[in-house]
Amino acid sequence: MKVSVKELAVMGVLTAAAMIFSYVESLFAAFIPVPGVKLGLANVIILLAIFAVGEWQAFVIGIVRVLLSALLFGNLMSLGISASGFLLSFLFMLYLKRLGKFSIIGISLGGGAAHNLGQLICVSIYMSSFLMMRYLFLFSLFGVLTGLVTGFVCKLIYERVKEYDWLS
Amino acid sequence: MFGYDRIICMKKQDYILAGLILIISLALNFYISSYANKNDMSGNYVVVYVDGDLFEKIPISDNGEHEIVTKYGTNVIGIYDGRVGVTSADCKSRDCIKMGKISHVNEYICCLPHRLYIVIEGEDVQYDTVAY
Repeated sequence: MKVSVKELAVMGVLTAAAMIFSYVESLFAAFIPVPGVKLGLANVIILLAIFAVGEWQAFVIGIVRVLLSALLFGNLMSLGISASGFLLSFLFMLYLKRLGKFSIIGISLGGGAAHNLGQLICVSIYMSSFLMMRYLFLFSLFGVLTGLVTGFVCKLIYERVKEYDWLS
Repeated sequence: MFGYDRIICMKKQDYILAGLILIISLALNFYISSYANKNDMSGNYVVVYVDGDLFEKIPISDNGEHEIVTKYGTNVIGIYDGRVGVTSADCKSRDCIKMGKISHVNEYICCLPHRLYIVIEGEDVQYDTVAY
């Protein structure tokens, strides 16, 4: 596989943007009354990369972002939780995209719900308890709502950059 | 409103997807809750699990503060008239304190950094933790 310099640079810039987004949203997470609920702004970048750059590039960007933010801000536990959320949401978003029936906003809200489900599954395994699943509906409701917001943001950005040739 | 349709242009399929996700998760949630809520009386014991194993079992009538010291850290549980909450913890996030107070069977408070969760259990509760 050949990776051009421009492709590499684009992936680096998008990874940095995703890191910044997840840092910025951790700053105003304190204003949201429910503990642990985040907007998932980094998903804007992942979704944008899926559409504007490419699928495997988006996967690399997401994995690098998860590893780096765990290295900088988190620990092994938060790495597991965010990685499981990312993997499930990425697979689900890819599936929805390949179905070809949904708009960016639909794909984003599906990804948001899948992200929360993945985290919930990871926490259940981690705690060796099934009880955490009782918040399933609340989690997918928040996932759908935050996914709506991030999908809307992603659509606005994508409309402005889709003419740009990212890869050559 | 100007350009409203152009900006919020969700397809019909998007609404269907959102509805499906919510309905499926609500149904699963009801199923899981009915599985967990076999007896919804007020509980008899405050049970602390660490790493998924039983750590301490405190009668709910035992008012006062109880210190839970594990190898991961310390949490202080306050039990006052059947209402149970974490009053202090030496972790960074303190989400377990923010989770508030619990008073019914199978309600729980979890503390991820210290790998523990606190659940109210009845005398003859049927379910046990599910091991993976």
